[in-house]
Amino acid sequence: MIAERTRAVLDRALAVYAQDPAAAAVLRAHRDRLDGPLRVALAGTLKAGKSTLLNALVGEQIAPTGTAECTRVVTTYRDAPAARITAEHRDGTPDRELPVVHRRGTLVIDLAGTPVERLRGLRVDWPSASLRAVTLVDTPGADSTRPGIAGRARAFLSAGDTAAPAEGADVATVLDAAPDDGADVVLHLVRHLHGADVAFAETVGERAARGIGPAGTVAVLSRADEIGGGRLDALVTAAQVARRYRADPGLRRHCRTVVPVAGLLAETARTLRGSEFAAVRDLAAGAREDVEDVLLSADRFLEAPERLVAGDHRTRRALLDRFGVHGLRLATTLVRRGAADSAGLAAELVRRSGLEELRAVVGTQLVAHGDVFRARAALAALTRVLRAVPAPRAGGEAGAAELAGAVERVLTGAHEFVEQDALVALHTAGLGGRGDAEEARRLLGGDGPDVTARLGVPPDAPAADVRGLALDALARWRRAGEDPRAERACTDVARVVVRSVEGILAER
Amino acid sequence: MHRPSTAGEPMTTTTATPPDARRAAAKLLDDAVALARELDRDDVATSLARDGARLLDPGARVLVVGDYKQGKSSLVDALVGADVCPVHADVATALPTVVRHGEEPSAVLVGPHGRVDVTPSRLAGAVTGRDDEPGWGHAEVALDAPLLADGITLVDTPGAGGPGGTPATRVLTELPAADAVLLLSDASRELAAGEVELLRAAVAHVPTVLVALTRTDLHPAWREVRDLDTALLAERGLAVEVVGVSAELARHARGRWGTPVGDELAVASGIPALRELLRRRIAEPAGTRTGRAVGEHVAGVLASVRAAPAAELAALEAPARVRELDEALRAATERAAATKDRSARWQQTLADGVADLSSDIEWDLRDRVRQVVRTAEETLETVDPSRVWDQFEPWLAEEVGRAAATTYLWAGERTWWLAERVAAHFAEPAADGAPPGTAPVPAGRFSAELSVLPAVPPPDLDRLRVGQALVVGLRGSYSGVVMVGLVSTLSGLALINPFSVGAGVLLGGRTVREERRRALRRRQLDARRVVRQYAEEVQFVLGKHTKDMLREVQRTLRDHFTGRAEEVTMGAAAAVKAATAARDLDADVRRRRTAAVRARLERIDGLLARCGASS
Repeated sequence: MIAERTRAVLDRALAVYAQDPAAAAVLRAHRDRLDGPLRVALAGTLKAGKSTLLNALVGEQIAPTGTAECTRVVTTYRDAPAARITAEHRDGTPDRELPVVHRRGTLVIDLAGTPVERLRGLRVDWPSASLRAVTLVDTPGADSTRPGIAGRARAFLSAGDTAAPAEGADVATVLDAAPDDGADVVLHLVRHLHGADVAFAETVGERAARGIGPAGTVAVLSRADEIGGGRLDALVTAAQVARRYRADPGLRRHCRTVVPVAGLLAETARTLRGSEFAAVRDLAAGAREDVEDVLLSADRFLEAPERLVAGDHRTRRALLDRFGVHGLRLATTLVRRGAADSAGLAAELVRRSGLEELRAVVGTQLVAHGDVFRARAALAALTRVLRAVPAPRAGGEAGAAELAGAVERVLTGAHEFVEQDALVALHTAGLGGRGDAEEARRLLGGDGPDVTARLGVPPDAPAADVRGLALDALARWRRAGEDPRAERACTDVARVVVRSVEGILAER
Repeated sequence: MHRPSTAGEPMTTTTATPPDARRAAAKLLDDAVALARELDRDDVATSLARDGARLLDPGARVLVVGDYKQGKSSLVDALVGADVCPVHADVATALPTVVRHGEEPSAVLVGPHGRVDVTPSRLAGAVTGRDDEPGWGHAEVALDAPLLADGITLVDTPGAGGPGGTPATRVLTELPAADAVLLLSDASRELAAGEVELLRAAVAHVPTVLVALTRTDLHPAWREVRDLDTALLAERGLAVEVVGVSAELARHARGRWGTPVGDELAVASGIPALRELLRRRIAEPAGTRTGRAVGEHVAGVLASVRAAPAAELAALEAPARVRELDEALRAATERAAATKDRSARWQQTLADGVADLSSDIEWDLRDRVRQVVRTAEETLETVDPSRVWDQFEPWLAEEVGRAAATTYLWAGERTWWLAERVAAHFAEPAADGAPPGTAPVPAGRFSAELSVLPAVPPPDLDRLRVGQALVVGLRGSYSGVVMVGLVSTLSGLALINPFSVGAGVLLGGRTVREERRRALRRRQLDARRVVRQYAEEVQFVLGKHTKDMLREVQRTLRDHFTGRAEEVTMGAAAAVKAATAARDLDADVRRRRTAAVRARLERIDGLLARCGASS
């Protein structure tokens, strides 16, 4: 519904802006995107593990990772029939294709001497099933010490920011400064969330998610394996930490939810090689005390005697870079407990890395509502175009004014937008019992927009049951919405829920 | 010059360890006090003991700073070799903890309502912010550890300098009182922008700044990160040494104390190397500095004490040369007079200086706060306060805090400058060829207490509710209905007819819109009022605070320099008395007296030589 309405508005806008090529290009890109995969940006501080998580999500090592700052240009990874790397230039120079080079199982992006300042972005076409539903966008660290890089990440993420352009600014520059290929939703990677409100509001609320809004932001507690000194139980601790953050209303204002992920572990598990499994198995074959002793620190592992750890310094270092100290501790323990082959170890590592939970959250909470986020991004882009070019050549000022009215109508009329905002407001509203909040979340589409998912019944439930449940929910939430003793925020959420349930009934 | 040290490097032994310098200074002070007592100069003995203790006491404060969860508390624990600071995987340190030397272990919480001795568990609760009774300013822990005994005080701070990009004001205000800053950064990544900013501020205010990369046990690439950081800092002209440490390895090493593996782990943890670095770069210079200050102080005091026996000896040895003696006495009296004269001058300098400082600080603070207020008012002019207050309030508090902190930093520098100017009066060639040079200035620390800042009061931000809007709308529409209705009754229609209702709706809508606009304007005005009120409140509180602090500074300086002036005068008077007494003595007594006085002089000269050696 929302997609159709947005498409209609964009079609009209394309007619109005038919003779303004820069604006039309932006609008056409967004119109095409309405049918495409959801654009998910990975944002966060320096070395938060954005590229590593991207590799884990794709299941292949396509984003370069390393010790020094790796991602210096906004890089888009999308599904395509053939592998191709394209460099998009800032100053109007035509796009240039870069060679696709593999080195030791990793994709290498060679800029061939082009300074990063001149690049607007990189586009990597990569045949992958994991990229079918989402297009992933890797961004540079938001707190880079290198001039320009942090600003680039910020400019990219706040593409939806509808600030008015400076007087007399060139239309092309305005549209270029706020690139048309921004993201629809953000996975915001953080190492920790202390000084909760201040730090988080600053990193996420203020800059990153500007324009995308808290509904489209999921906070990812990355590098969960390093919490508490990388001990074996680090991931359990990380899960507790994430649970505490989820319960913190101060944080919930800025994001949908918080998920812990051990990025490195997930990446390695999804790309585990036979030789690596063999190395871990050989390591685990030693006496337990010896193995623990060797894995006390990275340096000790690298310098351990040959009888405990096989291989020379380089192969050991490679193993360490892939697993991390915590990963090796965990992997050897798993092998000792019976992970017999490469696939078994990989499955167990993936399970423990928290990657599955993240994929579930992305699937049910972001991709399932993809229409809403894509529409929002498209309408924000259109608003930006309207401000940059107030008098289009084809439609004239009257056409633009009419268009602005149409945008306003879609934005205010769509219950889908209201639902998404209510999903975030829900946690800060202090809704009665925990069960109530949970039900409201489900009814608002927190587990997916389908009727059955909303009502929490199996997809093949009989229609009569579904109707009965919906009517029951409607009555209860009507009462909640009219409760004179309840807080304003609660009744507001309750009314949105009522509207959603009415939608369910209407659909049946 | 960067000389990155490796965690694996063996412990180096230095020739003159700081404890020696400090111990020698303490011994010199004790001897000088004992001698002064023997010479019946109890006043000198008391002032020596008091000022000397003050010079000896403050250990070098090492501020341990860094982003949240970088392992600051773990590192402090590893450095002192005991579990002092509460360490938690999730909950972060909320209260600064001062860890210093003490023969008996103790834990104290310090807050506005005084100092309270607490148990370790209560301390842990308060430091991690889980205590029921909030409002503590900081915690103090004393324990007996070698590093602390060397005169190093470690200050574990709550996280700051994170991805936000601006170092927390609280850390900035601590800088002037610190002798060294140890920034902790995760070994997995390069320094972030916020950390570099913090380092820049630290280098500007603190003599020694170090970066420790934590958790080197987890990150094989920490050496590469260290080299990247070193290059990055060199590029920005910041002379900062970068070392790698692992508190976790140090913990394992403690568990296997004495075994070969334990020693190996200890070396690999980098903690001994860091300890050695702290000793060499901080404790030792501080110890030498202390030694020199104590030496100068004792020498200055002894010079005035020496005057009496010197005059007496002259009188005893050559009773015939009365004329010369008289001249010497006159000179002594003149010196005393000159000191009094100087006293008038230095008091003038001090009084003028404090008055200038007071007005300058007040003006500086007013100017800075005014600029913040102006920006705030401009912002409030364009937005609806009820929507943005949540973000606006922390911003305002932060900006005002920063303004106050900047003023305090500047005031601290000015205070030192004033103290040095006053001290210059005493640096003129003093009596008896006592070593010239600046008189030691007592450490009057001018540090900010931002906890005194008041909170921002909430403005009245009520938006027009639906109910209110209805009432307001009705009021408008009622007059519309009546107005048009009355006119239309003339043409034979009822009071309530389509025309009058239409007019009612129109007027009602307009009234609601106008009321909305008025309400917004009112909210903006109210928010601006609150901002101005807050600024005034801050200036009032900080004004009182700075005045108190300046008065304290003035008192400290006055007491110190008065004491010095008095000693010189007393020395002169004692010299006159001793010489007069020596004039008429019979030969036998004279011989014995001569020997005694000579021995006394030799002891004083011996001590003076030691002062020179330690300076």
